[in-house]
Amino acid sequence: MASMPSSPADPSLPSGAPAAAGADVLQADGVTKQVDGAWLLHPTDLVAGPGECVVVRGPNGTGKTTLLRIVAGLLAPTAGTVTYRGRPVDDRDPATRAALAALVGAPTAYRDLTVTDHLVLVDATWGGDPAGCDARAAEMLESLEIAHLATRFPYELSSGQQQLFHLALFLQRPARVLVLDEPEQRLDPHKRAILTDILSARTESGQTLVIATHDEGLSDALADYVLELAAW
Amino acid sequence: MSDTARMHRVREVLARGGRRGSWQNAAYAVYVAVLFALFWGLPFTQQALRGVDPEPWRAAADGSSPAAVTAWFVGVVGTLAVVAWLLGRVRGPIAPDLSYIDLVVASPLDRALTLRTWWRLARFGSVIVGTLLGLVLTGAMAFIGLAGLGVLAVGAAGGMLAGIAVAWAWLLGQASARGAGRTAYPGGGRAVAHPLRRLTVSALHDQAIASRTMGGAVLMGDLRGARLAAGGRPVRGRALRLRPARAFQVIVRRDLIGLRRNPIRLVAATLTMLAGSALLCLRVGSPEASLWTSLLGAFVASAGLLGAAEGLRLQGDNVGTPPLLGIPPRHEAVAHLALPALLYAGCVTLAGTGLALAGRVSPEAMPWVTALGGIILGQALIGAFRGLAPTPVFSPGVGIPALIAWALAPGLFAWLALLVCVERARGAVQAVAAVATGAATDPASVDAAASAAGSLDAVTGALSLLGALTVGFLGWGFHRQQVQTDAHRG
Repeated sequence: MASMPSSPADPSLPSGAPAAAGADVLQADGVTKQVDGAWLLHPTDLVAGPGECVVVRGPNGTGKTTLLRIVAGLLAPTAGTVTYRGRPVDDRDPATRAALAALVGAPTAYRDLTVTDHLVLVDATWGGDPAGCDARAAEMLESLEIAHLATRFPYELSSGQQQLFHLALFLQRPARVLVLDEPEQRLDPHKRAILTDILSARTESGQTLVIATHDEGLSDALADYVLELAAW
Repeated sequence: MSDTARMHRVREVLARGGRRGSWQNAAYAVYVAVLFALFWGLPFTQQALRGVDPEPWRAAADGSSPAAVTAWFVGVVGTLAVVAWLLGRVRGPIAPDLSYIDLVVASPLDRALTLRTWWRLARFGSVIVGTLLGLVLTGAMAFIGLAGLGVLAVGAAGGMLAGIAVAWAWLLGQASARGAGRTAYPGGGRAVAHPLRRLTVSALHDQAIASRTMGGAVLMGDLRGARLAAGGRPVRGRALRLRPARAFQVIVRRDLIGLRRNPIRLVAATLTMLAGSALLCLRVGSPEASLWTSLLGAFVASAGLLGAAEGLRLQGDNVGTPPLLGIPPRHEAVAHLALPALLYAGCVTLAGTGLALAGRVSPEAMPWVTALGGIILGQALIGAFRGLAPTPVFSPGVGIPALIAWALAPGLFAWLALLVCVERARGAVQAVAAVATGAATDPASVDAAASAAGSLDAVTGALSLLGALTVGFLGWGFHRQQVQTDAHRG
């Protein structure tokens, strides 16, 4: 895996991957975020193609989560643009929702559904064949080694189990681009290794990954490019 | 030093040499409650009693049917006790603040002693409320001549008994809630028989935090936060499975499984909808029904349908998180409306058919009352996607009244819209009935023709109004949903 140091001193410089070829390119050009004059994210560029993984790193408060929210179309940038396949990214746009999956903060969860019910619901609403929903849900839980949690309600999970449940929900839906904010949070080393294997398999299958992480192991294993955000 | 003496010291320290305030506050609350009962409760109850059939009340007062009165009393008190027990499982009467829990309740002092003040206050309040309600009801009966003044003593005694029963049910509900101790602590022996000794620090802590969160959320105009803090967690139906289906259908099934896992909510919502739709059917389809039936019916039917719309509120709770479901937010909201709409239509059909078979209402009332559900569905949408109170509500000089007005406005508007539509529908049903009567007696008369034209106008007018208000409320609701869904993009 290649790791490309960026330029923390001058965030206006292209600091992500070199331009990836092909149509399925996620591209952020000079995106910034300011709220009432305060900078949440300084000008940043990012490019990721199919099967590539860009790892976003940097100290706390440098705008990693803000960048991911912008890249996923959840937050409008103050300046700059984000496009996927040349089309502006905006989570109100069904095309964006179909292409990009984001795990930035805790996702939607219903306190009256069990873990398996959630996976079936996600799968079914994305058009998964109803006849295979149960099997796919079981397979997802097996892959994360949490099959024993299938009939638990979300509030009955520990914090690490909650994170695995959120990852299962996120990975259950189809997407071409996966955006994850510190997916290794609260996971033990074994579960981190499982997560790394799953995400590696996703990039090998052609999915694009954009991940913010403080875990060097995860970063080394997955990163094609590293985008280092600087403290200001 | 005995526990009682230690507790006395604790109270002295907490009072810091000043006078204890709890009972003074309680006395003031009683004063306000008495004033409220005299100036609002008594006149309203008199008015309500004037609008009902007086014979059963007269018979109850003159003692000619003691078994019926006893059964009625036991039924009412039993129902209230069950409600109090359920409430206690979420929010019990023993509610000390966090510092008292950590510093005093957690100490080796006898828990029944440290928590006794809250229990006494709750019991006192419940008895006072029960007594006042008994006095208001029997006082109103006496004022309008349904009973002699002697009935006041019976009302006071009955209310007092009901108050004691409700207070105990409330406490027992808290003692049987999740987190409360169910078995004796080591060496506790018979001492844990008292519900106060079964309460754990952890359970009291959770309740205090939830209360504080809820209170803060209400003051901040964050109705969603308040609801989440107050909301219970499902503990039943773990073995139920969400059966896969196409997107829209699976969301309806999601809501159904949610209600099946919360049977209390399902039963309460269904019974409330049945009662509300019965009252609305009575007002629309019975010339004898008083205005009270629609005033109450509109409120109760709305409460029932909103209770069944939990899936929609959960969608509202999750606004702003990355979308996981492969269905557009508006379609998801429509899917979440399907089950409450079906339940409401079923309740109207059941209540309306029953009343029609009993000869109490005209069957024509049913389609009208069913159609009223559209306004309530709009209200459910608006409620689910309220968001936070707007900043001007918190401006100096505006304060709490503006916050209350903001919180109540959609419900109040929907209630008024329902009342107007009910009255117009009633007019339309009566006009059609008059035409049918006229046509039966003299089909060729000029009056019959004019009456037919008038009834057509009444029906068209009522339909137009109902249609416009339904579209307005649903449109407002979907607008709120769009605004909330987009708001997080900042």
